[in-house]
Amino acid sequence: MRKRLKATLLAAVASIAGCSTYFIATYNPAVDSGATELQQKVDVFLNDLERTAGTPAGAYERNAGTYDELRGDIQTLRELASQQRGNDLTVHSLDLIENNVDKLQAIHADGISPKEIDIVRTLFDTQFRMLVQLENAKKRKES
Amino acid sequence: MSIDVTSITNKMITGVRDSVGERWSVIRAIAEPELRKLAQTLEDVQQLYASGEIDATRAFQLVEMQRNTAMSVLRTVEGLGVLTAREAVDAAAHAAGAVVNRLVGFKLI
Repeated sequence: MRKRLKATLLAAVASIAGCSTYFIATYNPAVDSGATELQQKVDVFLNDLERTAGTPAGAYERNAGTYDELRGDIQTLRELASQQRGNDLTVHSLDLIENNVDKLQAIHADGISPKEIDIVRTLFDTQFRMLVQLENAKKRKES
Repeated sequence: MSIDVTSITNKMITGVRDSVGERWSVIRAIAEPELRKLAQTLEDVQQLYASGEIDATRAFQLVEMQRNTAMSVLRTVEGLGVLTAREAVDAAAHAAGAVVNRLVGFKLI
């Protein structure tokens, strides 16, 4: 009876302690600071775009290179994040941000108004805030 | 026709609440304001469309971006849920540690 109890208890504890479903990557300061820098870059770009919308300086052709730059930065962060096991959520969040950069580029190519930029800014702000929030939660968990 | 932001917000919140169950209370303070903001952006898009400032294609593109953003919120909610669950698992393992270690005769946990 006692042996059986031992075996049951050990099995239960082993399943709890080794449950891979609950695994999430450790905090990576490079991903955290990279996400914050990227957020600032996008914010500066959207501010410039809002200020110059409807003028030659705000034309898509004059700004097309920025989209490639942003995608490059996201890819660098993505590679960094994907090197850690259990970082699928962070990697997917970066993919969602990249997807929105693609969509913004398509909208910009057709012409974008300050009111639309305002909506887009809210969306990017939320995406980056959520990404940083997740990284900070990992940090809190470890402290 | 205008969008009922409160109703959409509540539906989104209920949807998330149902999916995360009891962990909701821990992450509610983070998720609710974000979902409220997203519901507001839906209304903004609808108003631009209603006033003729954007066409249906553009409205669709903006809603697609909104949908990606909602997914971003849910990814973080999921991550916070996993971290919360992990804390519970660690606490359970820690609590059981003393008993189990005594049973097996060495420091297993």
